[in-house]
Amino acid sequence: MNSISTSTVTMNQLTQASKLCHGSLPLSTQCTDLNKFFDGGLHWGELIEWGIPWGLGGRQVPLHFLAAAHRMPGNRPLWCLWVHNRKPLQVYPPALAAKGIHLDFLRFACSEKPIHELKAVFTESLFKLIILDGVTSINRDDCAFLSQMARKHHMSIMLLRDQLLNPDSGNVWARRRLNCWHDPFSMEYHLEGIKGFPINRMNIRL
Amino acid sequence: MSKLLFFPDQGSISSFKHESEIAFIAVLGSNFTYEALQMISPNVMQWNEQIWIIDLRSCLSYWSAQAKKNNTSVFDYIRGICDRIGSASGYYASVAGDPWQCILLLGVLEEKGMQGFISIQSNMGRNFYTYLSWQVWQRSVKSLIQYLYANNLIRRSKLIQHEQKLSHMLASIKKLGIHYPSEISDMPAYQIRRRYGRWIAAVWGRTYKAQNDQQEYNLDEYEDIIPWVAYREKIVPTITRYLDFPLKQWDQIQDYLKQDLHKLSLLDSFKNTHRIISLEWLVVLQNLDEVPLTIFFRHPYNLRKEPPHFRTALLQMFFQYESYQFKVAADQNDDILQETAIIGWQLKITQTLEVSDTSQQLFDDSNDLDALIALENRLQVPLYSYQHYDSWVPEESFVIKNTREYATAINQSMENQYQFKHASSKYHPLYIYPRPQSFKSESKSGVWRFVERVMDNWWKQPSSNTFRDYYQYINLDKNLWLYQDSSGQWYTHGIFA
Repeated sequence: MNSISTSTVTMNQLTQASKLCHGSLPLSTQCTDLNKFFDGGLHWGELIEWGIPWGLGGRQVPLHFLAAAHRMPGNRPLWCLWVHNRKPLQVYPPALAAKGIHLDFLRFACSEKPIHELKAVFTESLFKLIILDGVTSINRDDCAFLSQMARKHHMSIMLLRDQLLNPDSGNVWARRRLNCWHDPFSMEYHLEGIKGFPINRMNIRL
Repeated sequence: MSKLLFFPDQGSISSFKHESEIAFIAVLGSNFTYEALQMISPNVMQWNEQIWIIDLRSCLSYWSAQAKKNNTSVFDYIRGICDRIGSASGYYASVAGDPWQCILLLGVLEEKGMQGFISIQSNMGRNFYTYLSWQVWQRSVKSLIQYLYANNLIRRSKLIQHEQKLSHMLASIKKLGIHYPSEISDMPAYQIRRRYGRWIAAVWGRTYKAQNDQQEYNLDEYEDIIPWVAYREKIVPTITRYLDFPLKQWDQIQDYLKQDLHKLSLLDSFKNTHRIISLEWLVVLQNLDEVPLTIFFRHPYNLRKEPPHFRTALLQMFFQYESYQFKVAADQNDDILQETAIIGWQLKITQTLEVSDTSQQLFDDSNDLDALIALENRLQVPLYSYQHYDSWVPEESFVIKNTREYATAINQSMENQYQFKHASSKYHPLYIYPRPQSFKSESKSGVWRFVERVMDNWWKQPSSNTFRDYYQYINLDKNLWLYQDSSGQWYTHGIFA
């Protein structure tokens, strides 16, 4: 009896993993509130624009999706890419590993113009989750390209802006837009959905 | 026109200078031909009729991955290849971080009749090198002079001058009764220079480079005592294109390039087992200027696998062409990119790596890693990843790795990752400064949270700091990772982004 239930669980896990890989299931984190805010998790094939003020700790929230991509039940972690242009700063890998991110499956690139310098990354489907952190050169045309590539290759592209997004100035190419910031006194993360979210506001603890 | 070289990063190449003990191999053996040496590195030099020097630096990461795959060290792996090539007739091989030291060690091995593959870093190699005789040193210096003369790097007058200085030095040594060069290995190069001239001093400086590096005397000027003259095959796969009309647009240029790459891949001189390390694209402009653009591939590139689109080669050619245009615009202080008309070009395969049957599988595996390697060849900027190191000093707790070095690590258990997860604090920032910045703030009001105390590398010079107390400092517009050292100085080390 036990062996049957174990194999059933394994089959369920494999089915779930397969669905995740093929993009029919959203990528959900271990934080229930975050999943709820994102309507079940990160949906594949989308460009998501985040407004996260630089240097205030808000980038911990997108890291949870990165960790989720590396915690695929019964399957290998998904390849992810982190692009930034913050010289002389560099990413501190132990902080990522502490969140459960598998460093073997995460690549980094330092690029001022990623659409140009890393074009093949977007036109091929190897990387399933791409984070563009604080890349200022990305304009509307670039967003159109990113959105198209995300949809075509079932990948998720997160564009992290260094300032809060203004609800009055839209971005038609981003399927979802949100603001996120950390309150160091209450230790809460504030999420404010601007476009594409079922809930407008939520405060979460991670 | 100066040659444009954009990658591999100069930093990554120069770093080998210090740490790689197997950067160069000198071999002597009848079976070591140019074709056989192509299995080890594309960059080889013929020292004289019998001796070859191999520069391993451009493909060391590849061999490192291969060695890991076979659960052995790079040294043992390459020794295995050399054994296979030279075992029938016997061979001498010396390994060192410097080509000149390779030549000297090879001379000692030959003198002692010690066949095999010996590193200068090993106990045996060090002992042999210590007993380097004046005869071997003299013979090697003479062969160096001959090498320079044969490659038109010095004139006859210089050749005579160098030989005279060498004779003077050896006569003095004989008078002084010094039996081995190692007896005066700590003699500063500038003293040799004063007596026997700059060139002999340079050679001396390189003979005992490690000792001389410790001295105050600057040895940078000695870097080129052996200018590298890479051996080239007589028939280099080359395609020349004369255009009927000048071309400016990349879309038009790339159509012709595709045809030429296809022709290049079909040439008899380009073998099926060849993987390209670098191509030279000699562009002829309308004003008849020739611009040599060197196209490097991060990973050995299989040209025959990519027809008809040749996407990888064309992308890298485009990046080089565009960089050249930017450079021209910058030289002319012009903000607008002027497309230069091209009237022809020559495409030449300058460096290849011969892939043997045993190593071919790393290229031909159809898995994620293979896709990643192919993808990296198509990018203008490199991708990199990190690996943990067991160190409590934050900036030493990780190291940057390239994809090939990860080739085997990828299948290792994930447990190590998660062990680290438990060991590391969650109060670590996302971004850090490679070198902590001095923290100066008029007001230190805000929230201070003590994170941890770590011991510093107080035993390493010039640091004398014993510990660091890390704090998280939060105010209205900052969330920083600071530390105070044992002398009370404050530093910003990271940003909680």
